[in-house]
Amino acid sequence: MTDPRMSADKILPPDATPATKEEHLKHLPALQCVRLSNSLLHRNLLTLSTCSEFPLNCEICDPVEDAVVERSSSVSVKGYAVGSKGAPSCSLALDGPC
Amino acid sequence: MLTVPSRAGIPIASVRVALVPLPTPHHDSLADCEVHQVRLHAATLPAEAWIDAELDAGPAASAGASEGKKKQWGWTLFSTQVPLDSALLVGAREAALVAYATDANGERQELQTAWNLRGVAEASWGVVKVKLAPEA
Repeated sequence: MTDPRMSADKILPPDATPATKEEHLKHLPALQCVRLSNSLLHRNLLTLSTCSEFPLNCEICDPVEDAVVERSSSVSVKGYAVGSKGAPSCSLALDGPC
Repeated sequence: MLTVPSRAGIPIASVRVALVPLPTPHHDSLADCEVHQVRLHAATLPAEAWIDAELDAGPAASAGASEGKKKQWGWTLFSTQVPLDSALLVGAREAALVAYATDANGERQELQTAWNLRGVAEASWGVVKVKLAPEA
């Protein structure tokens, strides 16, 4: 599971240029897609959001979710929202073990 | 006791969640990735397709309550049950759950944050994908 304290510099080659950084990120396993922004750092503080949420920049990685749900049932969803600086944001995940 | 409101925190008034069968119809956009297409499609859904999530008011605070009780810190947890409408999901093997928040000032979460390498200030609508059990 991604360490919420992990920064981009810790997962990138030390000699990475901006171009190679982007290329490197594209090939990270989805679950290792580190949230690189402050807002996503917050998201990672909640366990529920670390394993079943789309990565930060969707162009970098494919969505991550392997849950299989029965049709004609319902799914429990939970998440959190924050209204920072007039720009509300929320993040959701399935309620249950990942 | 004197309370000092946060300079930046604004209470969340609502979070709405919708179910989107996949794949979605293609919408013209600069970004062609799946999650962005899901968000664009969700934005076209009628109001009745969205479910208001239950907000966790937290201790001694309540989003959307009277001014004195509005929470002054950022987080608002939410939860809800999203029915899987079998008629809506006919032929679909996957679906996405999409959510957006609205704050107490009526500001709605932005649909899609402009891409940047470090993902700074990312605040796009939340999306999570699920696989659907095979149809009987």
